[in-house]
Amino acid sequence: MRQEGTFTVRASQEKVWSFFLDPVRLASAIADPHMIEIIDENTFKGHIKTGVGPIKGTFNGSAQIVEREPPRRARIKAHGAGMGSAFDVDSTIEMAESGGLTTVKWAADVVLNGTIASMGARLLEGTIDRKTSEFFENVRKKLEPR
Amino acid sequence: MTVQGGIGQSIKRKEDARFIRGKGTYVDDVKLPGMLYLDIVRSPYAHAYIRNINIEKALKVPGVLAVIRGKDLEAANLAWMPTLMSDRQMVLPIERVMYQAQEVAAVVADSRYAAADGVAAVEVDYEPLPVVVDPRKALEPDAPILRPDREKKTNHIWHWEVGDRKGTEELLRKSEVVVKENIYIPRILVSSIETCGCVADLDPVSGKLTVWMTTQAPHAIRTVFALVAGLPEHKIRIISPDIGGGFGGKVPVYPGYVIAVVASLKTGHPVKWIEDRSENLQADSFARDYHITAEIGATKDGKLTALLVKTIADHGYTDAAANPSKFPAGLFHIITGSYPFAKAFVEVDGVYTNKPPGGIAYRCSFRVTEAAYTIERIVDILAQKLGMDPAELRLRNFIRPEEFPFKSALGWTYDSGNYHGALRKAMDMIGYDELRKEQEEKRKRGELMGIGISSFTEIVGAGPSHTFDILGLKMFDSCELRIHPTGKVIARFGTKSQGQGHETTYAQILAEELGIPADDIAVEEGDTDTAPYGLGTYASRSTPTAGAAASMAARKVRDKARGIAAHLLEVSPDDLEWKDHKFQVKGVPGKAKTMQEVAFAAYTNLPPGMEPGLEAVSYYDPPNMTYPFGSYICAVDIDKETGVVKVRRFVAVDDCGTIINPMIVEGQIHGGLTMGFAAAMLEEISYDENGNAWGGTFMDYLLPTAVETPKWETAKTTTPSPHHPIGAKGVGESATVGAPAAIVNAVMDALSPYGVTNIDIPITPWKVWKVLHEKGA
Repeated sequence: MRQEGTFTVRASQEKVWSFFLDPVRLASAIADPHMIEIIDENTFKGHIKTGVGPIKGTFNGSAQIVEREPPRRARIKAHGAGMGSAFDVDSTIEMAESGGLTTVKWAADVVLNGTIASMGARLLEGTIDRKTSEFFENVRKKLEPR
Repeated sequence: MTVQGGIGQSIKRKEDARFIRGKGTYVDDVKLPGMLYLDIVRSPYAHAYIRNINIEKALKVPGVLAVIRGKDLEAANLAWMPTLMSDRQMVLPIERVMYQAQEVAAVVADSRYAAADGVAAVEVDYEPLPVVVDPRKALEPDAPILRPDREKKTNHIWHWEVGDRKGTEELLRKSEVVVKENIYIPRILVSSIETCGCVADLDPVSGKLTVWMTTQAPHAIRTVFALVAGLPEHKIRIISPDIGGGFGGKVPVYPGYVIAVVASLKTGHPVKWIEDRSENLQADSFARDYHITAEIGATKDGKLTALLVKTIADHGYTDAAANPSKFPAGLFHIITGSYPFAKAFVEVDGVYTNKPPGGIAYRCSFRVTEAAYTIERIVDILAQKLGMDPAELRLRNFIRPEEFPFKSALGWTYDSGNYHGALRKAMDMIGYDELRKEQEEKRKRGELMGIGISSFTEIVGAGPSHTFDILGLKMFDSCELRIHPTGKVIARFGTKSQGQGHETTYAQILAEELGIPADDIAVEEGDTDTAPYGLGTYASRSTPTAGAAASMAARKVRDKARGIAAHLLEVSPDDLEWKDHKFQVKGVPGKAKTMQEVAFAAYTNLPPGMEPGLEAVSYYDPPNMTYPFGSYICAVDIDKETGVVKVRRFVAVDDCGTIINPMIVEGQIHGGLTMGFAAAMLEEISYDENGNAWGGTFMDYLLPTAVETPKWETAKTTTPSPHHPIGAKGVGESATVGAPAAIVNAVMDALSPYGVTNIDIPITPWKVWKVLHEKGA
């Protein structure tokens, strides 16, 4: 399943880049309860309490920044499991600044397996859309001057 | 003179007294002192290597006592178990998982909650592998080999064929009209109200294993346990208590049963395992998944000539189908149905995919639904091509009543039938000609209405020992009958009711044969320590086999009773006749003895030299299968704007031979029609490209409620089986087998002005709307 979109924020590319590439700050935009642990500058792991429809629980996961071209492009891979389910995400972000606005073009190939794919399939797209827009809204709040 | 509860009486079901009060005892009602609970870790992947299973955290969960993995079973040679079809199936995997929701490990704990927490704490490291979901892709040369453990390095399991290929192809070439259609019958699940489960109790002192389990065939399970686990058979007791629906889904040996036994051995405690609904829907044995190509030939005036059927059968990762040993595709070759084809040929190729195994008979006698659906669909498609009324085409071709016993083109000998009678009765009931007129008028107004017929013939009652066995066990069945001094009866059987009403039906057969009221006859089944050996209940076999055994055992009792009655009446046994449920002195109606009087004498006043007691056992090996049949007619209206199909009327005329309890038969038909309707309109387990099963809950896997279910109009004709002691044929599955084609034929009849010949089931509003949209309706 491929998800993609663009997101524009009133902030410099430099600022947006450093935000997106800092797992702790980036994770602060996630609404669901979570914990993150830095392994090294490219690797982090953690857990999150989330779910789709009736399937809710704790998912353990890890992520790795596999490509990095500051301040323009990065590729991050993540894997996680929990609640009889597993997910694999291969995502890229690309940034460009123009007139004080930074546009982030993002894309993610998401592979879901197990209970969440089997039982939550009907609810999945709606949930992902909702959680994605919630996430970017939070990012905006953190980046834009008040 | 009738006896209370004799054959033909609609007495209330004896078992319902406890069922409607919530007093049944199902496996999950069994609670033993010190009992532990088992829960299963299942794979999120449809195909993956298992790099590691870390159980450390799980073992620290309070209440968790043990975690069982494949390698723990390997030591006891139990990581794999044989299937009924000479394949093998994992109990727990050592290195690979083969389908999503497959068992990976099991957690034993002192509460169900702790077991679930333990499952969540087991960490499995998987390496995903390429997934094969489509059996046609599995046969492509570059497809990954799913079963490298087998000698044959291909996903093709077996090829099976029957009939005259060359002759059939030749006759089709010569036929004036030929139609061909691809028909897919999807994966579905029986969805019993009660899921599967067991309580395994291996007594550490006596070494005796008692398993309360949801099984339709307790004796066969006992023997399988003895052969596979190496336990002495007299130290295995399988108890199948009340069962909340089986429909074939409780024939297989699921890994959970075996793991529970190992868990009991490991812990020294009884262990309970009960599936939840999602586990049942995702991992239990499936039914169908047949990709069929059917070709039928006829003359221009509608005389059927030949039938050719090719099928790819998706078996999942192992061939664990529940078929009699000699039939890898079940009794699919009943596919010539109600028609006398000059030539026919059927071939089936079994294929592995990354899906759960199964191939169980979803309320049918081993692939009979697939066969009946295919033949009744293709006959309708032919009628459409010929421009002939589908009722007329059938009536013109049916095997005639005087042709029975009839040898079909694929080798079966049908016992009896009157197909014309059943169809004509159904046509009268529904007002066929008026409906056709109405349809014509509606078509002129652009409205969509359709009429569909299904005139099916089943093959049930497996079966004669020369042809039918499971793992070598001949498919007889049994009755052990004992009459107490006061004329009350206990009768035990080798079958196992899952809701069919055996406690009533068998009592009625015995009442008729013995002249003892059905109320005085207790029927027991399901405990291998007490019941005589039998092959269990599925394939509509109980009445044809164990029901016949009841009659035969009763007749043996009567033979002995005659001698006692003669002694009491001081006449020669030859002077007696069994009449009006009594032994009467011929020509002296007042001089008679009842079975109750005889029974008392059997313990108190015997003829000199005769052994006391009054009992008998019969193991009945049926001389032939029975062939129930029927004609169903369905009328539908379709909403063009939404694609919603509404079943307006549904008439079902069934002929199951002699009817023992008309109310039970009607109940079976109502239930079967509803299940047939579900298959036609709602049910399907489909998979995404990663092999995740869609339909893990009843929100996605749709079953009809009373709201969706049409009103059924039922009737009967009676054509007794000539070889069954009371002429009964079995009716448990007729309606499930016959209903889907009637409904789909009605939908296709409605859509025929648009040149549509087939929509694969389930017929969802979306599929109908899409076709109409594409055809510019």
